[in-house]
Amino acid sequence: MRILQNIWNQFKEYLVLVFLLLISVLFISHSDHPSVKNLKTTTFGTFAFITSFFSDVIPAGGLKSENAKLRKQNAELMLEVNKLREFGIENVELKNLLSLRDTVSYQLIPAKVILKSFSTDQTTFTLDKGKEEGIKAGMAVITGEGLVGVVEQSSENYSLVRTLKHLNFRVVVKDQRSRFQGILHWTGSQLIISNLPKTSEIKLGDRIITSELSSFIGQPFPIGIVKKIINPDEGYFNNVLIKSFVEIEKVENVFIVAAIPHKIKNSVELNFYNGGDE
Amino acid sequence: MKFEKILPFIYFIPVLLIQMVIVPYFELRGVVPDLILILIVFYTLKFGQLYGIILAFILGGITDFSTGSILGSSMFTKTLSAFIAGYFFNENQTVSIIKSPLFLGIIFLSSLVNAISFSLISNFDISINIFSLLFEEGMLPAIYTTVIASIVMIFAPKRSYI
Repeated sequence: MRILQNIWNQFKEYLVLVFLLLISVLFISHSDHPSVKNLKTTTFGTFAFITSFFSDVIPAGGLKSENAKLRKQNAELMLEVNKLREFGIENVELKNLLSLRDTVSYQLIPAKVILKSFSTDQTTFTLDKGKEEGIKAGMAVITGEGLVGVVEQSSENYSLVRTLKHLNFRVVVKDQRSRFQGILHWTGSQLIISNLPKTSEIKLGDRIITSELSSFIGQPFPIGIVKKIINPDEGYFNNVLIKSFVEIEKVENVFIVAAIPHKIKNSVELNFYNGGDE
Repeated sequence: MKFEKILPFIYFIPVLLIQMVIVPYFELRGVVPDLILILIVFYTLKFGQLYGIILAFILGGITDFSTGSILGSSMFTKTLSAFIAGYFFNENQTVSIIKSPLFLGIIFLSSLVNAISFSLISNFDISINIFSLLFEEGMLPAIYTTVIASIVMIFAPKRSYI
């Protein structure tokens, strides 16, 4: 106690200064001003360079268990792919019959998470790939389990990802079974689809995927399952709590879906109304 | 708390109004003096570094809210400036420092730090020239603020009301 008292007496100006500057930085970091975005891009690019050096040198823990998990997932995916291939062939035949054309094409860019933010309400990742690999703001970021987030900014060699667990993240989703659509967002403690009509036939355990209306190239990325339906006595709407397939805190490796998102759709979803990295 | 220590918060209101309403008319090539910084430096030299940085943080925050600038930017820059000005605080020479040319030197230094850091936050551009950052964004506002501070110093009443 006496030591703390001495430290306080000796360094109180410095301690108060650091504390107040940190609060200021916290306020600044919540700003969407373009110059703050530029500052963030430069800062995270610099930090990412340093962090990537350390993450390359220090081997990641739990690599063995992750490999085992991946092997299992690989086998399961192989079975799934076989099944989907059959469906694909059937789909092409049916589309040919209806004279429809398949327009969706995309490429997956593997990337490694080299930095994670500490904020629980604004979780962001820094990836070790950037503009040089063709990564642009607005591209979807996924893992084998489902959607992780969307690229917010990219510098030459690094990208910043706004994850599902970010207060400013919005995505149009749908219930895979009932086809009801809504906007998913993070409240700071849970993923929620708010203001769904009470007439919507969503049930516990339903799979939630991104909608064709979403800016993520209309590709249905899995998001999670319905965990709870909050049905207030008053009003016409329900809120639906979602349990994400991806455990955001544990993500280490991701894929970026290299497709240019639709600007108008983006602005509707309020994710990149400032023009992304332009 | 002594009443004296609350005074800067009272003086801040008219100073902020002048800064927002009148000072823009005295803009020279986009450069304006920072009256709030003069107030902060003055009271930092009067009451010390710790008091100064807390005062600067609060007044910076109110400035951000009032002027619509990036929330946290003035908080950050003013706090940093007050910290620097606080190094010159001397309990036994408060009055003599404030009435000496050293006061203008401190104003200049604090204003330089304030202007450069504010420019980095609110107008950051990776391609910005270091000369432009130091001179146009830093030195000119600092010189202008120092000139205004010297006028205030010359015409300030001899008897201390503040």
